[in-house]
Amino acid sequence: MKNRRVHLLLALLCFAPGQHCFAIGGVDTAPSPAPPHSGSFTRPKEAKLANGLRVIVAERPSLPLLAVELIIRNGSEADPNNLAGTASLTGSLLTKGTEKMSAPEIASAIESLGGTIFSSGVSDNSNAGVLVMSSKAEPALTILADVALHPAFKEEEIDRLKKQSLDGLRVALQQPGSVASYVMGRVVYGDGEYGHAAGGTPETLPAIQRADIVKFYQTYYRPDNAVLIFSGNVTLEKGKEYAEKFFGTWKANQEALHPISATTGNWKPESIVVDMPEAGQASVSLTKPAIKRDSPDYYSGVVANAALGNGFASRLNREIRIKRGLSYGARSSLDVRRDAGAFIASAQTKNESAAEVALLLQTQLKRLETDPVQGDELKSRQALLTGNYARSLETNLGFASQIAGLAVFNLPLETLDKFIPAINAVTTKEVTAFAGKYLVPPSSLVIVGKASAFVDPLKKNFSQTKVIPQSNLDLNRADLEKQK
Amino acid sequence: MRAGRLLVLFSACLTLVVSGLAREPEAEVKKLSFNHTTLQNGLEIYSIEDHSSPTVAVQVWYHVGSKDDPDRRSGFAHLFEHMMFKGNEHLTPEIFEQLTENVGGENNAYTAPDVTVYHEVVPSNYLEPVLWAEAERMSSLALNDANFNSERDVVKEEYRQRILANPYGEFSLAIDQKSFALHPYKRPSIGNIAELDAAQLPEVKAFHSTFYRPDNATLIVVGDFKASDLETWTKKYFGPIPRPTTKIPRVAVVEPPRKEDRHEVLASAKAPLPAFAVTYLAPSVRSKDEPALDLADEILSGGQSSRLYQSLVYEQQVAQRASFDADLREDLGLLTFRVIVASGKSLPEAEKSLNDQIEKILKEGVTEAELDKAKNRFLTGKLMERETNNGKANALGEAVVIYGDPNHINTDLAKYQAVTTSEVNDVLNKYLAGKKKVLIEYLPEAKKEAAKPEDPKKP
Repeated sequence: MKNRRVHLLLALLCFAPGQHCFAIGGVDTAPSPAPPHSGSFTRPKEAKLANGLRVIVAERPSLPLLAVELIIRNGSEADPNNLAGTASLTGSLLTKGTEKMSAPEIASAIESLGGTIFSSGVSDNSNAGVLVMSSKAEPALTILADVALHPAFKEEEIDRLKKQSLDGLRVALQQPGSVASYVMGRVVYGDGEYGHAAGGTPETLPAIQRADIVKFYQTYYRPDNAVLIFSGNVTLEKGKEYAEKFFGTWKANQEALHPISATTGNWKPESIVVDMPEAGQASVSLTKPAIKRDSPDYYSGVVANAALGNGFASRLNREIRIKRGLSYGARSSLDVRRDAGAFIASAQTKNESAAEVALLLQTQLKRLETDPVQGDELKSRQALLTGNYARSLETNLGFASQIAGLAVFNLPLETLDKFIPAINAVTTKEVTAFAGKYLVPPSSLVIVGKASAFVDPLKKNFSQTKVIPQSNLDLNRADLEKQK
Repeated sequence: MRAGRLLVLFSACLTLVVSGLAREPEAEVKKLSFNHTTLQNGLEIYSIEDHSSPTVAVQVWYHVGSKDDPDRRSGFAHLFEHMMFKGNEHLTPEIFEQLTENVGGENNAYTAPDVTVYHEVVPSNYLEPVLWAEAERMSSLALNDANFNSERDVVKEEYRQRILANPYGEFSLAIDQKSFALHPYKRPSIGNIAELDAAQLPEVKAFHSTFYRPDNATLIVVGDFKASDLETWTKKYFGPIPRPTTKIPRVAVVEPPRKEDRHEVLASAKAPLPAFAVTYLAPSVRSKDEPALDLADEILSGGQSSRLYQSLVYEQQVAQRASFDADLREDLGLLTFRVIVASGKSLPEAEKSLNDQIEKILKEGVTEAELDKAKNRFLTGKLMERETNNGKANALGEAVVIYGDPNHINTDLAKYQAVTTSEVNDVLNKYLAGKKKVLIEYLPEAKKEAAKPEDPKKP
């Protein structure tokens, strides 16, 4: 949907110490802020259908829009061994044809309503949803229910999607940043359930058969493993009525659902370079397994991560971008999953600076313990997190995806209201303890770039570095190298 | 807000009922009522009061963009935008973080061919200090070799990340470069390493005094504020900034009509799949043909039921991606078809498929159903834009600065709804049929020899 007229060249911002001034006039000092105004979020409500389907409704009547999302509580972690990409193909194929409608008919029907439809399979969940004007809720839900409950999985569509996915992979595998994400999956999780590329690899995608997809669908797509979320111009009553009408006949599979086994355990820090001689930049990352979504350390982890690498004023941006001009942006992330997710600190830089950036990342991780996050710095990161959170709840789709984030992990809906006070309650001591426990001990280093430009200086600090030529990279193996 | 000399108060929420040609029940898009005032120094101020969340969006639109880059300084306006965060005598370089992300807000900026926009969203109790900071950087900047050089390095990394680390980055740059003969739109906003390296500190200072002035700026404020406060604060902080007596330079270059088709071939060591683009010259964004061209854009490439997706990507599977963009700008625009060829298919096959689609739409025209669909998608997009204060601020800024008509935020929907199939067919024929095109091919390096510009097989 095209409304923006300005073709954006987004430019992050910046600042540097020391200046020579030629300023004039004006008011010399910043006026103080007024006392804050208060605001509150919609409280979502919920119901359950007889077939076990959980229904959650966020009543947000201010605009005539409606987002509806169906969440399946399993995704790529449940891919069969050697068939990476099964959950992803299954999810994407929902909108590619049902018993009644072909793929072009589905696209045309939803788009004629002015709406969009989406479906996918990712880690820990699969999903399908629509976003439409609320006046078109009924026809849109008819389509959504049809794709979710009666997908055809036609051979022709499977072949087409595999081919498209393989071409997408060909492009992704020429970008240092995306190669690094694939490699980090293996480095952190090895052979575990999260280790393979969720979207599949050039070797596994062709191997996936229709029977694998049907089996995945039958095993996991069932009402007692699903959550239906409404967010927008709808009431709980109406949402329940829609759920009953469109999803009430969905039958629960009688077989018990087997929980997926634990994923990590034998991770050890290592240092890996993927040599991409044509890379226009190097992607440099430190990574390791960290915490589960339901860890008691979750909120202190979120604050520690924000101090390190969330926002322009975070430590990584100050050191790497602002002080040294080494990157357009440095960041860190704390991915939380049903099992322990990965912590990643990363930056892209010119190939010649890769070794310097690797060392800077490492130094900043250690500094979280030696130079504690306190006072204004702590307050600023708490405000950044709570402000980002409040903005994520502004749109219907954003609100639905926050609910989905809880529903996937079976966390209570009250958690929505808990985020802001919990973040504000995190203390310096807790941040330092989190850093000491998870971030300060050695991480794995992953660099994807033109190795000849940085490998010698790198080995001064990371002597055990293994260099894998791009042509020899095998994402299907925990050791990442093609077998001779 | 009642500051300054002019006050236009658009009265309370009228409701625009959209039924159009669609048979579906009408959706209601409430009109946005905005205030407008102009300070004596020429600063235009537009605002929308909305207390539904305790936040406020602030944007300053400067009517200067990458088309105003000085000669042989491609990328300069964008580099300058980065320097706007470096502070001055009163502003520390950290101030925008202190007043935004450190208190739960956000801030950023972007440089486009025609405009440069600085934007913040903050808890509403921070509106006054943010207005102060924007006024400060409008009045002056503090720059030195150290902060200039380090920020230039950041911009060079941005260039590497967007262009060099992306297998199709150089392809994207080539489209403007090869499509405009004279107009400065041919120079990429991001610039290039050599011209970024050549930029000097005095040029940055000159750029500020030439373009960063109140009579070349528009302030947009949307969200939780009191009109009387906004009036007081804008007068206090922006009011004293002097209006220079010099004229604001404007690009006067007129892009000549194309005399012949052109065919450019680029090689890439990184592209795994060949790609090509076909461009035609198009009118200004302010042209009366704009709504019909935007709807044609939607019909050709909006969503998976669009013509290009259905034919090239889905049915024939000759393209990994296929798009059409009615890229209309202030002075003129481009109509751009862009295709990444699917593996196992040849570039000539994909070009033929695209040409067939262009021929078909010109000959047979678009259908009522397609046009209805495009209008409905536009309507949903419009509603989604209204979900946030920042979205409304974007729409208001575009209406004022890009379209030159603030009422555009309330009149565009009716304009779109009124477009007929024959109008869409007319504009497509007007700008595509028999017009000179530029074809840009982007080939994985080894295949460069296979398709020379004089290859007789090429259309």
